[in-house]
Amino acid sequence: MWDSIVVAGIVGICAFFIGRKLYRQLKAAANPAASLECGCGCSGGCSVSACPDRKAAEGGKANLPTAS
Amino acid sequence: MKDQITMALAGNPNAGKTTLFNQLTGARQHVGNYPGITVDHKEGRFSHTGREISLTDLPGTYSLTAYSVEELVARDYLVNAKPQVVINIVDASNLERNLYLTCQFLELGVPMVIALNMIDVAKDRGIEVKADRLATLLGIPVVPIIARTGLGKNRLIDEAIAVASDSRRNWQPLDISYGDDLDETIMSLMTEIDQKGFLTDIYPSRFTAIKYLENDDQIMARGRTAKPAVAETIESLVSQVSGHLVKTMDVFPEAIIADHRYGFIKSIIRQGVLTHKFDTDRLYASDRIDKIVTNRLLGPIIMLTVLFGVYKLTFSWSELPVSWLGSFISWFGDVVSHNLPDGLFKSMITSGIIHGAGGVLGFVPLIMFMFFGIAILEDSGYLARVAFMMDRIFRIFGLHGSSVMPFIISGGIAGGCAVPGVLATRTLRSPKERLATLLTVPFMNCGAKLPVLALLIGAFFSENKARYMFFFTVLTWVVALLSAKFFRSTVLRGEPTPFVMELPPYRFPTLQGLLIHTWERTWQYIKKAGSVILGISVLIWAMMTFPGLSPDRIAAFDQQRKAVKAGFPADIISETEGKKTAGSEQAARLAEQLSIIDGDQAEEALRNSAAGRLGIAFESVSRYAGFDWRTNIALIGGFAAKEVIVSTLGTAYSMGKVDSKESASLGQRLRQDPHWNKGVALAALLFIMFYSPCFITIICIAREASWKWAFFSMVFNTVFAFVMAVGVYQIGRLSGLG
Repeated sequence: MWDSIVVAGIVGICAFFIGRKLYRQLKAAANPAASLECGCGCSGGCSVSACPDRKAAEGGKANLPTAS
Repeated sequence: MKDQITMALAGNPNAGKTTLFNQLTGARQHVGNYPGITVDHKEGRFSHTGREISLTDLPGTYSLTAYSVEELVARDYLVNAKPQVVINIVDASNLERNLYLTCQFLELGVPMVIALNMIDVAKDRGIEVKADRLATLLGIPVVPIIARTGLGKNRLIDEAIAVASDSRRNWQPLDISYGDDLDETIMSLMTEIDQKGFLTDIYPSRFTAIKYLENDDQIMARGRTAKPAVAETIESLVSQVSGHLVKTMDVFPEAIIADHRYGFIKSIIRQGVLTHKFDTDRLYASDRIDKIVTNRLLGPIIMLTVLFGVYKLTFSWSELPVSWLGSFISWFGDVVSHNLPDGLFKSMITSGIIHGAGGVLGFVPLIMFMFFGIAILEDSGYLARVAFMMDRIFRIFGLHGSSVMPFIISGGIAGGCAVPGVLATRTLRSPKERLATLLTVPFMNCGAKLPVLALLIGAFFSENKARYMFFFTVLTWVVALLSAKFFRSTVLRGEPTPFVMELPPYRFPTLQGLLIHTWERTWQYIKKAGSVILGISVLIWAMMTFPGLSPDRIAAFDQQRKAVKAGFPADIISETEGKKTAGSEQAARLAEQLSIIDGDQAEEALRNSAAGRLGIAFESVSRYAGFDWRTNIALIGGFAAKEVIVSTLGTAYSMGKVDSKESASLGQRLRQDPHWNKGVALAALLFIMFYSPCFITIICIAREASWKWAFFSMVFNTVFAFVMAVGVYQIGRLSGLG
């Protein structure tokens, strides 16, 4: 019994943690000025400076064509 | 804060802004010996002689005309945030070109101090810059510094504080003459602009007039929105002058403006600012190296040799540490398994965490060596040469020279990341070239794909690991370039734009710098494995565990165990129970039969789990590529992050293995699994390299382009990867590989 409760707790915490991360990233995508909080957390040496800043420019999206 | 001084760091790419930013703020922002490190601006704070200073590092730009996003970011920051002083960092070894941006800052009128950086490099090249003379001629303080060592930084900040505190210096635009025709036009435009108050709240009127003549899209768009009638008048006037210049001199106003700015710079430099100790034609060390390294014939051969060498060293040096760490993780799993009571908690710890996330951590030594190799290439300046050589090839495939760096950042040499790669496409001016780059950079082998590649190559192609890694790297480039060509010939058709590549001088990497870069990246990998991957591993374990078997099925398996036990005497049964190894021959036979039933039950439970059902649902399609339901679960998990493929396979292949006499690594388990063979491994490798980018990259694409393009990237890549995997698997099967 005890281990079911512990496991449920850990799974719940993980679900919350991952869910929150996904939610924040989705929110950041909807608002170009918001930060991805360097949330890529990339394994591939995503340099801190290359990650978007909280005050990222809104111009990044401006000059792209729309999907056709 | 009342006493806080706001400063901005601005200058050309690779002039040393980020190095100076780190020196001043104590931050450890990534610095690389190639242009375009800073895509956005970032802020830091520090105090100097009791004054609090807020410092903003702006992206490197060559001009303030809005050709690229970086230039927009820098200019918008200056006009909107209005920092009290701008520290314009200028490369002393490349003064003439660097002063072009300085000219534009002066025209904008920003209060400014020049940080004359890399005076040591200039000295080595026999160049002497007289800072005092330059300061007198430009009318602003010029401080010689070496950003790398911090030399001169205190005097620089003293001067910057003095400028910031001097209200007389604030926003005094410099007037440069652009010749009779343009000067007259500029005066007329200024009159119109000042009278109508056209954008005067944002830019000085002369600056607006010049930007109109330079055909600056952003300012023209702003003007049309602010005062359409005035904008129309100004545009019409500019169009008349432009037409006249083209007709009479066959030249556009922007070219005349650039010429006069360089003329202004030359006139300053000629007045004793710059002296060459050596013959100016003398080949510098970097140029001499480049004659060989970027040679049309030798260059590509050297590039491929260097790449292969990095892989060879990575795999050979990391082989032992990887196997030690793998053995340690397996041993640790066994210890935990033997000391925890059977149940859900034990299963989660061993299968979910140790075999799952632990499997990803097992590749840390390999990742570390790979990052060390990349750090050497990057810090020495060789990566910029790779970009330079690739530029020739890129043009053939309809891509721009500026696309090379996003490709390299994304994992052109395995181990990058697609997220900064996607962001780095901001340096591209043409929207179509940018989009073609943005859609193809995820094909590169990012650091997250590395453990997956290392796992499968190590398990199935261990005889030539470096050669396979090299082959897969070249393959990603070929596929990315062909895809780009496809996009540029179909949905993103358009003319290529010209490109000039700056080659920074070679620098001898310092051991400290290399170790810091390697550790920063390795730590990111460890952090991700210990946070996101760990969390996902636990969730996937839960999906592989629940809902579990029905009571009827559990009872049926218990019944089977009872039936087996009935055939053995009571003392043999008690010998088997509670012991990890059975002593007598009969006990060993009983243990083996019970173990088979345990395995069957675990297999059925896994198949019946939520993840198992999902994997089985895809099996009808995935079997054409040789993927079974377990592999499908891992591949679905890979949408979240590619490392999850390793952790999920680790969990899937350890579920049910409650007790084992030998601690086999995941690679060994895959090799022993009847569903896996070289053909499947090759198909899986190709699918993993090319299928949908991970979740965060998709979000980045959506943010940089649109959700439509993000969705397109997901579907196109997955379909393409699946077709490739099916083709390779079926050919392999027919040729007896699988």
